[in-house]
Amino acid sequence: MASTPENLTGLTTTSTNSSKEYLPSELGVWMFVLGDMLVFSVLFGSYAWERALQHGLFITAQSELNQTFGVVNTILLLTGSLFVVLALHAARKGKTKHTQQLLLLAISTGVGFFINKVFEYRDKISNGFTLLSNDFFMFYYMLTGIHLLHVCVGTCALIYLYKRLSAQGLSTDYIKHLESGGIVWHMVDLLWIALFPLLYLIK
Amino acid sequence: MTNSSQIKQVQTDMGLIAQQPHKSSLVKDLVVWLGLVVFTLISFILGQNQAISTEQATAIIILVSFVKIRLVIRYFMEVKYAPLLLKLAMDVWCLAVCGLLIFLLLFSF
Repeated sequence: MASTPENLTGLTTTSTNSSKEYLPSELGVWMFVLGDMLVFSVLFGSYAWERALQHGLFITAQSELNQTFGVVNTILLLTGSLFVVLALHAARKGKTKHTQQLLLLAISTGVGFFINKVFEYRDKISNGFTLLSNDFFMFYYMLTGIHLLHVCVGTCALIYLYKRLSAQGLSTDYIKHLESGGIVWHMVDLLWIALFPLLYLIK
Repeated sequence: MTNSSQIKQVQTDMGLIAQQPHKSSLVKDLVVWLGLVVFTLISFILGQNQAISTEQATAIIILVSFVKIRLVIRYFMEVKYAPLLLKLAMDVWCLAVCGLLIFLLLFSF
């Protein structure tokens, strides 16, 4: 009875907006997210500082990047975030199958990002641009590498959420987990939103 | 008796699920996503544009990025409905990092 979609839907509808404030996920997850954002802000600042010191070199090296890779990856992550948001709404409404489908779509955007990044790295390395080429490429590989690690962790979290939903079905506990996975996924998205212009767009 | 206590438990559980911050709206989610994609394309075009100065383009691109970041935080992460302290922490981060980047990219060389 407890996990039937009808029950979830009915009770959800009647109690919506019962409280004004709502903390999705748990405090610990937010502490982790804020900590990670703080670490990345230091990395962004270091990059901008070094770029100011070696402006000419950074502009020349940056022109070797293919902006299309960056734009495609941005759209992929934004779309992945939308799928996660829709999956959470579906879960709150008790729609198990719909949640699963949306999670699969979100996972595929993470995998797509990874594949696109591998092609981009291969392209750069085959053109002779490695971690040791210059300071711009040192930052490029370091920042995108750390971010790619976050994408992998986020994608694994989504795969776990998909498998757990298949095995155990929807519950209040599951929705908290989905909120946590979603928040981490959105953080990965927003960090890329800052990285993309810094590395690819600004002159 | 067993049935009644089970139902109560279910309602308690469902009550927790029901504490969603807002009624979900596919249209709103799509509008936010569309806004994010449009802002991405605007930034991309500005990066290529020769009509405005490099400094102006840099400032606009960074500002647009942080507008996008705030949209993700407010709507996708649901911070719009979160306690004030979390809203403040996120807004302070956005303002501080956006300000720092614009300062370093435009004024420090």
